[in-house]
Amino acid sequence: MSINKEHPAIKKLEQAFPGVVKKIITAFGETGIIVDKDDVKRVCRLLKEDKELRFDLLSDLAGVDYQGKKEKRFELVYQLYSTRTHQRLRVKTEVGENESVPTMTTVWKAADWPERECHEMFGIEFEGHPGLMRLLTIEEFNGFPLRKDFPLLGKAEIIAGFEGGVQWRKRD
Amino acid sequence: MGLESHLGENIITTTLESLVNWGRRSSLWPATFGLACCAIEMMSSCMPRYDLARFGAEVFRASPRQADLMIVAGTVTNKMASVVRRIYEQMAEPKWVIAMGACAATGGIFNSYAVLQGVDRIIPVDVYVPGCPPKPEGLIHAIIQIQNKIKHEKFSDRT
Repeated sequence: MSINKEHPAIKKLEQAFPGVVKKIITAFGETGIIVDKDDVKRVCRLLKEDKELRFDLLSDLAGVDYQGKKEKRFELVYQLYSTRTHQRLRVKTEVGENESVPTMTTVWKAADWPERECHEMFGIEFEGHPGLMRLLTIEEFNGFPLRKDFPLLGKAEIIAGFEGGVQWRKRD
Repeated sequence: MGLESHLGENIITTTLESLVNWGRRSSLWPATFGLACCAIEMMSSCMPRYDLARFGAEVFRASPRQADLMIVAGTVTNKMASVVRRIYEQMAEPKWVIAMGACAATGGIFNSYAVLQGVDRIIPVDVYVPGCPPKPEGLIHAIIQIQNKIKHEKFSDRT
């Protein structure tokens, strides 16, 4: 699409860091770019702090598991929005298993909880995150539930309650 | 009736058991405990259209210590399980439990790693109400079932 290449963010990025945008994806008129995971931080910082772009809102950060379908197993998707120019941009980066990604909490504070959720659900490490603890599951939870190889019912189940807590049994 | 013929018309006799059971079943106070969409039906059953007050069970208490009846209304997640158990333990005896809706009874559609497959795994349940969510009539029926159960309870059952 011709609109796509004229997205102001892509022009700016090409000027500032030539070759940083690996691929441009257009879906339903929305623009997304793929960058290396080592470049994510400087790309995001530029997108946020550039006076014309001002992508000041990280509306969501999600992980995807492409087990067996891609060379690198996981993908992180950053959904950006600018409250000044009302532009949207999707930034994607591929992450392999046992690889870590720099945290975006230093760019957008809003990245804190979504990164905790990604860590909990996929086991992706975020370097420099202020507190990478479990958010949605219980503390003694074992495994990463949104990975494709995680059993639907989990690895343990509650069998009985007792004073002050509940009792667990491992599934076979 | 030997004794009553001497007492006259203004005094009736009964057993202590049935008097206490009458008191207990006529003022079943539930704990406010809504976990999911079933709670909307639970609230609805207290509103004028269904009027749970007709059965003496309209006073939803915010503290488990003042409640006799726990209506587990909705999906119990594993993270919530220990909280449900603790609230149950905080309620004073005698206490009863209704598992309201498919989720509380069996886990419902949420057959997954995050949801408790039936609240009866952690607390004893007296009445199960099927439905997703059950209509207020269903909940009212469950409360009447519990009232019938209380009516036939014996002191010796609770020792």
